[in-house]
This record gives sequence, structure tokens and C-alpha cells, in this order.
Amino acid sequence: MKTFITLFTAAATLSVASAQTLSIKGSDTLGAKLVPQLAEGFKAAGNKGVKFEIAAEGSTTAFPALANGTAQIGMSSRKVKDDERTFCKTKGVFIKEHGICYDMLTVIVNKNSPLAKLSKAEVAKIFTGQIKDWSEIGGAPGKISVYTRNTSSGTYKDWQKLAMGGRDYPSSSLKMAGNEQIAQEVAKNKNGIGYVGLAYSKTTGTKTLVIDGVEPIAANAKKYTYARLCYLYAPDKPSAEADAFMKYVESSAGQDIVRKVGFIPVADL
Amino acid sequence: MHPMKSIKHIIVATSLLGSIPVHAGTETTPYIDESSALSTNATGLLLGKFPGETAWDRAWSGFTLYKNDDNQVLQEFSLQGRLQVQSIFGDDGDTFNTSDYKAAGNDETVWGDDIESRRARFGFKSKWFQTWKLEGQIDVDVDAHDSSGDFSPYKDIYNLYLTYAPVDTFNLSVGKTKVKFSREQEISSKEILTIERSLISNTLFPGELTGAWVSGKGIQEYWLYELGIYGGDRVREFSSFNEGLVILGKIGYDYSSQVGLDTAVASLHYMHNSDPGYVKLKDADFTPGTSPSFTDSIALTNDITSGRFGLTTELLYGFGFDGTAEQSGIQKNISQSDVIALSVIPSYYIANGLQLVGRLQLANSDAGNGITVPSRYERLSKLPSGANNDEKGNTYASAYMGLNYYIYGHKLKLMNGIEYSHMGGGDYDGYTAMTGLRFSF
Repeated sequence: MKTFITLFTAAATLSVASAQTLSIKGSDTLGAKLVPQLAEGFKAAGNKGVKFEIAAEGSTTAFPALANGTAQIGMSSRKVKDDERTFCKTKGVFIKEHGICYDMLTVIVNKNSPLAKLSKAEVAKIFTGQIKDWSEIGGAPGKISVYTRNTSSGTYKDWQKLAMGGRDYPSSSLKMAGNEQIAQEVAKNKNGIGYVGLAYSKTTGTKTLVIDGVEPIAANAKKYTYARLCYLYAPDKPSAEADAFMKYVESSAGQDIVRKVGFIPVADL
Repeated sequence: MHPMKSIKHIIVATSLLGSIPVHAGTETTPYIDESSALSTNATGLLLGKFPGETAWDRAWSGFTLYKNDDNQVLQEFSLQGRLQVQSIFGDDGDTFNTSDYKAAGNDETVWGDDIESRRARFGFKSKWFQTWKLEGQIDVDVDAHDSSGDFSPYKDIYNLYLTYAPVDTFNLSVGKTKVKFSREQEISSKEILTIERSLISNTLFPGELTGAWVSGKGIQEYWLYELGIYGGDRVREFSSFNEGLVILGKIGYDYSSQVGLDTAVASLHYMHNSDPGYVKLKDADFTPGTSPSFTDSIALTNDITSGRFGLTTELLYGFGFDGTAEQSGIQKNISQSDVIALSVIPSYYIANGLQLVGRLQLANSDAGNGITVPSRYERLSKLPSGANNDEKGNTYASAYMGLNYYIYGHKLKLMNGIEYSHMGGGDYDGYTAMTGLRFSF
């Protein structure tokens, strides 16, 4: 009996030790598709013992989670803000930034829309509410429904900066939780327009628009106007699992997954 | 988000071959309301919704009364304030402490004999119609009584201003505000790393003034600026605009991405003061501040942080003033020579939540008696005997060493520091030890 208890305890200890959990929190853009697939690739590359907890509720959630130790890696589609970084420091967490891929924010409309292209100026006017009806830019009459991300999203802020000259969204804009919701709503609404990451631009019922003559495809990333760098953040002294995962993400195998999911590897630009 | 919902959404991947389930707040469900794809995230004390990861986060979120980016009229209304208490002991051959500070006419701000209420402010901040912000704070009279003995927690308006902020690159504000000349003054007392700011930064500081200013950041990605014009009188409420002008201009450059640091900003500040040395008449409940005795001031600043390390460097120059100034209704002669000062503030996190801070100050004036020892505590050294101390000199050097312990970031922290100061051409040569607790929301 004594031997059994000893063996049982040892086995239990080993099984706990072999199932390390890696908690990753933050951006929906990265966390909905890309990071889960990177996690799969990481496990397939011989790290079977690592369990992943991935919570993708917006870039804003990444930094409190890193500060409080509830995440070992933070995902963000924007750069960390000074106050977020400072708060981490006061909690003894000194985060390091890893630019892991570029994302192209594509403008999508309903597949039945006659529109095929817009200028950057027209995009700014639509998303700031200056243009309210499709007839103002040569479309069929109909009130434009603007779909945006919610305020905890890094993409929400990035789009303001990239496409709206830093101005605010109109109060009539419809704030959605993620890329997929925006795509789904635009697919259902013939007057809808929204922005999604390149990885979400093929949603059935939608189509992407050419902006200033540039088609939003990976090959055009250098000249496309709405491209941005996306990041993972980890403490300067990460856990062994977090360190190994970060190295995998930045390896050629990880960057191949980045490309397959629809993002652009850092080295490609 | 409801905690149970959050837990429900976090799905753990368990299989190598299986897909990695994720709570994206997105893949199948919206962020808050599963019955709709629309994301609504109204929070605040008035709604009984306190967002945050920890009990500390949720407790502080209670100061936000209402926050809802989807509301077309009001997006946020929050309370803001701070309470900073501290105690000191100094020795320059003659010892002095907080009770001496109390005895020097500050009995209203010292609790007992040893605890000074350094700053007590209370107010609000709000965001309206997406692009308008209104915020203000009063200095709280911790004695809670006015000169006639009636109950009154109001001391003065610290700030109250309206901002139109259509874009990051252009914000326009009008009202009363702290005029932030020099890097140390730009950093709120909630977040400064030393218990008191450096001598020359305080000497050149024009106070809380009424005016209009424009500011912006991210111009061509890296540049920032500020330009403001203010009435020169430091008064209880708002300027009468009859007592001169203070003009402040700044230009800065954020070079953090070029050098790979967490933050790195260099900036140049210029301030013009048309009525140096002016002081308005004192009334029973308020003692107005003195306008700096300098016509023009320049600050060249550099502020960097990287990991555990931080360094703020500042070179200040004040152009002195010789002439007369109205002080409390009387014309007085002022003779202030030019001063130049260097301030270097390194910092380093030595353990979780524990930060070591240093500061070196060197200052020189063109003529004798161009520099006065810090007015708050060091001048107490001549009390109570009032002996033979000469508080003015022409060179000043000080070295500060402090230890800050962050309980909840900058919102609740303990600060401790000791500073040795020497006034060349004067008599002061001693140290001041300080300890304090700072709470803000």
C-alpha cells in the first residue's frame, strides 16, 4: 500500500509537471486565429506537454493581465501605451516587445454593393460620418451602416490613426466585438461597411475594396495604406514555456504559419 | 463582463491534433451580449459594473461613475483626486521637522505635529460628444474651516478647463490649469519619482493660471507641441487678465522607436513672463502665489526609460529681472540675476514594486544671492531661533536618494527620500529626510 501511494504521488506529480499551462491574453485580431494555430504548430513541434489558455478580448486586456501575472504573454495589435507599461513596471513586470507580423486592415462591404474601390479620403469621410449615404459617392441610395471594433480593441485605435486622421467615430457607428462579427454583419447588411484584418477578408457575403488603386493582398503590403505591425509582449524573464513559444513564433516555422493564416511575416516587408 | 462568462469563455486546449479552442469574445459570441453581435460595455459605479482583473482594479474602477463609449452625449464621468501626506526631518546644524513647518504658519495643513497634508484635491473629469472634455479639481482645505470659522472644505480652484480634442494632433483647451514649464512640472505629483521637485524647476514654475492653449502629438508620427497664453496672476479662481501674461511654447520629439527604448522624448520649452515678481493682494482665505522673477525661461529636457531603468535630464536657464514689481499692492524693487541649473534623475527598479531613485542638482546664478534654498522645508532651518542663516547664495548643489514602494501602481505608493543640499555663498548645508504616502484616483 505504501509503495502504491508513493508511486501514485510520483505519477501525479509528473503528470502535473508535464502539463505546463501557457496563458495568453489580449488582441482578438491575433488571438482568434493566428495564435491558436501557432499554439498548434508549437505543440506539433514537440511540445506536447504545454497547455494553452488563450483569451482574446482586445489588446487593452493584455497589459493588466501581464501586470497581474494572469497571462505570460500578451497579444496586441497596437503598441503598448506608456501608462500600461509603467503599471507593469510597478508590479515588477518588465515587458519586452516582439513584432511578430504585419496585418493589413481591409475595407469590406456587402458582396452586392456596386462599389469596388474607394479613395483614402472617402474612407476617412465615411468612417468619421461626413459621408452618410452611399449616393454621395456614386452608390445606390441608402444610409451607410458603419461597423467598427469596440474600444478595448487595439484595431479600433489603429483604424482611427491609419484611416481617420485621429478623429473620432460617429456616434451612430456600430461597435462589434471582433473581426468575425464585423464581417458577418456586413454580409447581412447591403448598406454595411467595416474594416477587418486580412485574415478575415474572405468572409462569405462580403468583398474587399481597392483603396487608392491598391488591392489589399499580401503582395501589396508595402504600398497598401492600412498596414500595421502586430505584437506579442512577454516579461523580460519569461517562463521556459513562454520563452520557447516566443522563439517558435519568430522561427521560420512560426512565420510560415503567420503567412498561411493571412498575416504577413515581419521579414517579408 | 460577468466573471462566470469570462471563465466559461476560456477554453483550454488539451489535444495535439485537435484545434485549440479559444475565447475570442468573437468567434461565436460578442463581448457582452450573446444575443446580439453588437458590443456594449457600459460600466461604472452608477451601473454597478466594476471592470478589472483584480480586487484593486475593481475598487479603483468605482471612481468611474459612468463610462459608455456608445452613449452619444456622455461617454465618461469620473471622480478624480489625490491625498498626499508626508513627514520630514532635517538638520543643517540646527534640526527642523514637520512640527516646525506647522509652527511656521502652516497649522491648517498639519495633522497633529508630524503629518503634513501635502496635497488634497478632489474633482471630476468627463468626456462629452466624443470630442469634448471637461475636467476640474479644487484644492481641499483639510482643516475644513474658512477664516471666519465656518465649515468650508473649499480652498481654491486648482484647475478647471474645457478641451476640444478632435484629433491627437490638435487639442484646444480654455480655462485654468497648471502651466507645465519643465519636464518635472509636466509630470503630475501623482507620478513624480522624488517627494519634492528640484529647486530651480520650482523657482521658474509660474503656477496655476487661466488661459488658452493648444497641444498635439504624433505630428508626422514623432513630433509633439504645445503653445499657450495665460493671465499672469496666480489667484484663487480665475485671472482678471489685467496683470500681465505668461506665454509657454514647447516642441518635442519622440525618438523611442529609433533607439529601441521603452520611451524617449527630447523637448525644448520656452516661457515668457511679462510681469515678473507680481503678487496679487492676499485675502483672508487665500494667499496668492508669486510670479517667477524671470522674464524668460528655457528648458531643454530628455526623458528616457528602458526596462528597469529611467533617466530624466533637464537643463534650465532663467533670464533674471531687475526692476519693480507690484507685490500685494506695493511696488517693490526686484533684483534677480540669471540662473542656470542641471537636474539629473536616474531611477531603477531593484525588486518587485521597489524603485530606487536618485537626483543630482547643480545650479549657478550670475550674481550673489541669485538662488534661494527650497522654501518648503530647508528654510525652516533658521527656526525657531531665527539665528544667522543666510538662505540665499550663488551656487547650489544637492543629491537625493529615495526608495519608492508601489502598492497599487502610482495610485497608492510609499515614498521615502533623503536629500543633502549645499548653498555656496550662503549658509545652508544640511540634509532633509522625507517619508510620505500618496493616494490618487
